[in-house]
Amino acid sequence: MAKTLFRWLFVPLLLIAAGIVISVYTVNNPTDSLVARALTYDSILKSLREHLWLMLVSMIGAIVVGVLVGIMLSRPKLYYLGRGVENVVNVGQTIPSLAILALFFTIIGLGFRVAVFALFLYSILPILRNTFAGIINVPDSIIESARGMGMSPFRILTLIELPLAFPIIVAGIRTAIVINVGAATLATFIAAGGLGELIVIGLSLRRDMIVLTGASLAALTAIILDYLIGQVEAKVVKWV
Amino acid sequence: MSMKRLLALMLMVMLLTGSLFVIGCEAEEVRDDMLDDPDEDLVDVPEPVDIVVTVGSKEFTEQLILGQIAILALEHNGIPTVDETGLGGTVIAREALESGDIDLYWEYTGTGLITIHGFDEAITDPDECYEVVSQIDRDEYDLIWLDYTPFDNTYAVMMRQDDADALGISTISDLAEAINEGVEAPDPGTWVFGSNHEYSTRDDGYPGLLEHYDFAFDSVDVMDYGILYSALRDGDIAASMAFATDGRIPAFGLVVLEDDLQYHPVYNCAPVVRKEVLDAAPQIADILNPIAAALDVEAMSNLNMMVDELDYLPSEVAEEWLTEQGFIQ
Repeated sequence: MAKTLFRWLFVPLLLIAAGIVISVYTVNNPTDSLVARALTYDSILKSLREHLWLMLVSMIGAIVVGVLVGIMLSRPKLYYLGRGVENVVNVGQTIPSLAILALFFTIIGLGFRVAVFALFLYSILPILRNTFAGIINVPDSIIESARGMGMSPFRILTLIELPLAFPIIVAGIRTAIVINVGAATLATFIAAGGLGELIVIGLSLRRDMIVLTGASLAALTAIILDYLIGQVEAKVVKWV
Repeated sequence: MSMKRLLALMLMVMLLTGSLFVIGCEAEEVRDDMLDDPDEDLVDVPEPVDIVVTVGSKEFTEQLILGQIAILALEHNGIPTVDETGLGGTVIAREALESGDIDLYWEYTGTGLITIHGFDEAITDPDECYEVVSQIDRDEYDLIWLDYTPFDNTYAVMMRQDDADALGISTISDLAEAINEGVEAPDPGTWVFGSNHEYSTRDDGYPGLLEHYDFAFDSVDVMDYGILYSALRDGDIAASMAFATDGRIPAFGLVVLEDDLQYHPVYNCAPVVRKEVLDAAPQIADILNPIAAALDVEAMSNLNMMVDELDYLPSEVAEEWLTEQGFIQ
């Protein structure tokens, strides 16, 4: 057990260690006073914490809403509505994330909540689409045999459709996470902080070290989360 | 040949010779003028130059307008240009200039000093700052700074006019005193300072401001420069950094607090040209220097406001202003 847990956590721990090494190195070897001011343990931790909060809150909301709405739309009664929603979602995904943030800034205002809301909406799209597509594409023959065996629609959903659609739903969630990490770096434009703050400060001051620190931490976050979800998926698939 | 046709023919011949005569006289007059005043040919009959000047700019309004002003003025004086305005920020514009992708863009003396040449200490005297920066660029980069503008687009601290009046604040010292004495903050209820990313960190920005005036805000909201002004207007922040020439300051009912302890460095603006290009077309300096001299704070804020608030295009306001000032016809 301890061994599997170690194998499980080896990659994330390695990546976290890489993040710490990068942070410690850049904080202790600033190229000048500007870098020293922008990169302190406090500022890096603050940005990272803000970034994780932005992601966590918006992703949890997006997973709950995306999966539930996806399931609802795949029910026979709402199926045609589902096709329409799928198209709307596909079009929605083509709007750049910066534009979504800007749009909600003009409507609601600025700060953490607005950024979370924009990220939440943006992350729903791939999850909803994949949930819908995953359930719709379960072969009719399987559903009919289940019905023939006398299963209720609810049991068909939980025992047949969801397990079969599971890998596709998780693929949607992983896509959403990667998009989310990237889009969250833009939240700094509307005063919501995050690792984007380091990136934009570095860019505007022409100090690559600050940009690299912010960007590599964001990239590491995305890789770690993607890996963890992948591991969970593998476990669940085995268990199902 | 009928009589009518003969008459018509004679008339035509007369008209032709007549017009030729007139044109000849005019040509002679022009030549006379040129002898009288050799400078005239620079303005009226541009000499053809075998050089194309690629004009760049950064991405914000003032830079776009200045870029268009340079383009129109050069084109009007017979120097062909390529429009590469709207590059994404100081770093990109500067690197494009160094690599020769662009030949000219307007840069601020303070930005040259701190952002480009990495000085830690700001200079608050316009001439001194200009001298230092232009000398380094001339000696080390073969880049020439033409004359700088009277307007100084420096950093400033601003508040809503109503709040400033109500609290009796007109200088940054007043603001520092009010905060230190625990005066209740206007919207959003705490002393939140709005800043863009650059100002929040740079040596001559927010950290130094607090030190220089010896006070502290409750918190800082770092956001994109473009939304600072509306965030302040809408009460999301209590005070904010600004650029002194931004047209939204008058348009949104905001007010710049006087920098009574001379903290902010100078940011006069000047066209920076690659030496190679200036050598090939030295008249660029003669064209742009008087234009720079005419750009004071009032003129620049007005031009900025026309674009930001009244939705004119940078090229339109540039053309209108140049015409109004008599630089182009």
